[in-house]
Amino acid sequence: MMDMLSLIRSKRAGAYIGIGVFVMTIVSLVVYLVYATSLEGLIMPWVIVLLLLTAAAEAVQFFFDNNYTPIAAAGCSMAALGCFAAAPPATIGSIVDHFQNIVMFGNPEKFGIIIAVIVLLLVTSVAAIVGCFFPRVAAPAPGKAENSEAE
Amino acid sequence: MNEMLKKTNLWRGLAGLLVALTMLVIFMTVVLFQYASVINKTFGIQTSFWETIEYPEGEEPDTEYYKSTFGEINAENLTKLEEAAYAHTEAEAEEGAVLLKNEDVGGKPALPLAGSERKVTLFGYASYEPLYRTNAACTRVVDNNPELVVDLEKALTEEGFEINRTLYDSYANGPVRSRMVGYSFNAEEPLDFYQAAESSYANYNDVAIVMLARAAGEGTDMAVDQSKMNGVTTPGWSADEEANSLALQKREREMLSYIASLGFGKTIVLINTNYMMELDWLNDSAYGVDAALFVGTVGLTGLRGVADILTGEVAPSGRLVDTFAASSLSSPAIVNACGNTPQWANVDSYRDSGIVTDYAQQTSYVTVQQENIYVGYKYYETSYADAIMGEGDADSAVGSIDGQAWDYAKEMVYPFGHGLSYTAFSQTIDDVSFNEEDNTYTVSVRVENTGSVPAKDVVQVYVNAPYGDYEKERNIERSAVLFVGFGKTPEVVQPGAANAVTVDVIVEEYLFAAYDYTDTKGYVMTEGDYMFAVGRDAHYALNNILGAKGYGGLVDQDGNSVSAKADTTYSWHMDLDTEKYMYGEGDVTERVRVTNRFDKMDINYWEGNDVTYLTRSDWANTFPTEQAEAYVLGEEMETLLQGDFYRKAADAPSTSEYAQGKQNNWKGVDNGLPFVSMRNVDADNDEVWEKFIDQFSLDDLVLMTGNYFGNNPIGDPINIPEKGGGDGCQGVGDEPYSETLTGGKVLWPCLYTSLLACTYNPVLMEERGTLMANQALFLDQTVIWTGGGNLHRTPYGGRNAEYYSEDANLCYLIGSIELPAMEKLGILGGIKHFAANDQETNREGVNTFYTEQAFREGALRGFEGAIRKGKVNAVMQAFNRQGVVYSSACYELNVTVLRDEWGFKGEAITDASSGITTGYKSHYTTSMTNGTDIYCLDGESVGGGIIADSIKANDDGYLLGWLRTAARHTAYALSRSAAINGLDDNTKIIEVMPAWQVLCIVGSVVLGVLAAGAVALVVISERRSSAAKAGE
Repeated sequence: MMDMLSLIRSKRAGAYIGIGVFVMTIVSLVVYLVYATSLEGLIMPWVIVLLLLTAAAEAVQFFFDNNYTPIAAAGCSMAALGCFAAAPPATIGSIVDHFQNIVMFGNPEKFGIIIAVIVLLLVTSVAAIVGCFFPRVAAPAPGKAENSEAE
Repeated sequence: MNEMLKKTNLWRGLAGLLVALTMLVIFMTVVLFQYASVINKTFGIQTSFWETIEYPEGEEPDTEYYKSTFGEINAENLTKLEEAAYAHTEAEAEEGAVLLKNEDVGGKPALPLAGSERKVTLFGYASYEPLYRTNAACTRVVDNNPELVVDLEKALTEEGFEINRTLYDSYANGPVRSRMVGYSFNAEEPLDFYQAAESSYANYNDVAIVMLARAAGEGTDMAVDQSKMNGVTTPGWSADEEANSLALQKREREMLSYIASLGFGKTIVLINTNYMMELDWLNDSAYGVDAALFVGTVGLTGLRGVADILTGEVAPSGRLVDTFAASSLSSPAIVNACGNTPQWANVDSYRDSGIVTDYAQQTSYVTVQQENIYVGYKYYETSYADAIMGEGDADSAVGSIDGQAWDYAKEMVYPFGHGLSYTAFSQTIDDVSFNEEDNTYTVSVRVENTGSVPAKDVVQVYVNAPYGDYEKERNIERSAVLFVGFGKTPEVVQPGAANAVTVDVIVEEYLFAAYDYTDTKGYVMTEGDYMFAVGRDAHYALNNILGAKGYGGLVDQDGNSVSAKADTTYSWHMDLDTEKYMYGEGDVTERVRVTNRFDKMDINYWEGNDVTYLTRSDWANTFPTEQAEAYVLGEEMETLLQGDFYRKAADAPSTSEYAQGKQNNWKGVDNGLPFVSMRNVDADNDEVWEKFIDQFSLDDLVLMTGNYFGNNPIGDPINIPEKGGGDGCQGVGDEPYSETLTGGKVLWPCLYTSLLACTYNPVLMEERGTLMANQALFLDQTVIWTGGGNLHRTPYGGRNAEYYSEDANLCYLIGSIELPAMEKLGILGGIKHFAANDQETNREGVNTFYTEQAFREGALRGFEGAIRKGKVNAVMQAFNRQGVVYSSACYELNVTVLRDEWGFKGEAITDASSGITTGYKSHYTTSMTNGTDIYCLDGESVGGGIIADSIKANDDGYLLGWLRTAARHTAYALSRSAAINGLDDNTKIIEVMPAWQVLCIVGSVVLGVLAAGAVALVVISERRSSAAKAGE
């Protein structure tokens, strides 16, 4: 218990942003699954995998401070956004249909939740990128001097 | 430097940023490449360029094989073309607007308005914002060139009317700012909006002009029940609204009652929609409507034509192409259509087998056409005839509007073909002759203007065919009156017998042959007495037929007794003939037998199903009052429904059988046959066409399957240029003219009206085709996906404004005029959507069942005129299924009927396929091997790529053969189009990747390298920091 408390006390801005990214990733995943399961079979496994990797990277970072998982989290979350947007034709097609007021390329009824997923993933990605710039722990760990406030 | 390298936070941040940006750019590139053809088309980016040799001066070949009738493609001629289109659109409205009613006011008909009646008030939100077109693919001139739009205010002002500006200007800030497509309860301003302007009415009370609209379109039918939207209460809905969107709505009722209370000199109603509204209220004294004009959707300048009719400058001569029943829900089709479309009765269990995995939304909905052949007037008029004749229990209460004995006068408001004029006409059949060479009748009709106003008149020819024991025993249905031909006086007819003119109408006997799907399994001319009748509408013609047969008790649609006119009918006897129409097109030694091809599209083919189709022999027991219960039963049905049923046969040849097979590493050979040289090669010349196709690499064949309305370029040695295409039934696509032609101005092509069919004027129909083809030539296009062959099966069909009529024979006749006129100028007239695609609700994959007679004489007939008679070279398939088979994968439809029976040689394209890789449209190998040539809006040829992958993986020569056949069809069609303009044997087409695509790739690589560098710096930084710490 004391170890956990000291662990939390040792965390700085980068770590708190990482927690935020972790939470937003989970929320994004849930909203995405709500969307995808309503489409019957249009679940894009790579979106789920990339979001899980984002969350895992941030979790690992929290317990095992290092320089690489934040980068991986930023890359994976943005890749998840790209994967979601690039999926033919559901995402872009639905947005096109919404603005053209037709049903042809996607499902315009899903416009709202699609935009929600995009916004969530975008915010998650930006947060993950910003988090990369910030120190994660208060005191330098041996061999990890530059990953701390002491820089 | 060393200190910089130790700033790990910075490098980590940069690395995170660059890695994320790399991901973003890579995926953006993927997205952009997926829509490359859209981007290229939108921004006019070429993906190929031409090279040719320099010819000595004066020796340049004339390569303009298809020329615009407006001359050289330049700014001056474009101006002339568009002005001609604007004038044509006005003429469509003048001749297509239908005068529904015209009561006397003060001893004179309400219309035309007197010269003194010019101070008017415009009521109805649509009078401020008319419907120019329905919500579908089309030219966007109204949105983008507002200075060209002729709205009602402008059209009337030009004719000297003074508009009540107080009310008119207030629409801009009224509660109704836009319509909900498909819904109508909230499309009108509330009563207090009109009451607020009450003080202004006294000064503009000559005439109250009321305009009412209904908006629907692609993907959206008019709502059968607008109280609910996707199962939940519609926003803004209140319980005192009308659930039926085609009924007069609460706000409309209140507005009309209010107008009636204000003491206007006259009340004129304009019906601004193509959905068959319920119009019995026009005769309700509470609303005091003096005259009503059906104006459809009015196009860019159509309201000028409407104004001309109001002033009397032109006498109306349009006629309805649909039935306007008192209840839009009284037809036998509606119980299984549009918003009423049911799901499979066993929808919860049929997927248990695991065979059907495509989305439930695309597989679960079923429309059984229980109405059989009885669409529109064929139901109402046949039921009336049987009620008069005492046949088939037609006057039972089943299907009646009020639960009482079926009564035509209660059911009907305006019958098919109805339309008044400012004068009166007399039509009599002078002569009928038969031409044995082409099995046509020439019906010579004398048209006399018996009134006092010069006007044009429409001649409608109907036939009555035998319906007796022979027919009943074989389930052959016959409409008591069947539309078979039309004509129009070429000029206005002056009053008086001396000015009478003769209109000759050519009637094809084939149009009233009956399809017997139970016995002959082909078309038959059954034995008995036949009768032609001419008349001002279907009901009038039928009454004259019944009168000629000796029946009494005849009434018009208002219930008034009428007597028959003998000189409007002509009868003759025919013997049974089961052979005359038993073969398809082509050489007598090769032509195919026309026989049952669609047994599986009758739901009762599938064991365990038992659905009743309507028959006039027993109206009471066969009129559909409840939705059909249809079941998915058995593995074959499930496999077809799943749709991915192509499997390489054990005896399929190797790809080595073909020039571009694996033995040649998927490359083609150069046989010295450039595309342009194929322009004179007959479609049946297999030897030359196969040599031509041998030149395509597999990648080239894949490119031929891709399409963004136009076609992809194919390079040397084939040399097919990249061309665009248009899409829309009221105008040429959503692309403006090149700014080099418009002096930098952005100009879209003209928008036509939806009234073309209502003109019943073959000259205008041909002129529309010619004008659209000219516009396409000026847009550098080779095809227009236009011409609506589907039927107005119900009043609710979202695309009714794009399709010609409820009557298949009228669709047949118009299609055989408008679309061939385009092809004469080298523009492919791609009629759509093939076939039976008559509703938008669940249009993606709705399972469509029918009897073969209903299909052949109905849905198929609507396309047959353009294709079989008009010889057009392009057709667009449909989203719906034939039975359980996706239209684009229906061999019987796309090959047996389209090509073998009708002799179609050109290209068959899917409806929007869009490179989809999931769901019912993604079974590309199946659709390719069942007659599909091109995948619409799949500019990147995703579908063709999947087919090519399958060919390579399985060494499937059979599939490669189909891919070659598809390319041949497309190349043949293009070789008969303006795609060959500018080409000679020395022209080379060089394919290039647009600069933006190169930039995307380079950007992705550069960012990737930078990201890797940043990560490397993190590593270096980390090591240096560690080393520094270790050294401290």
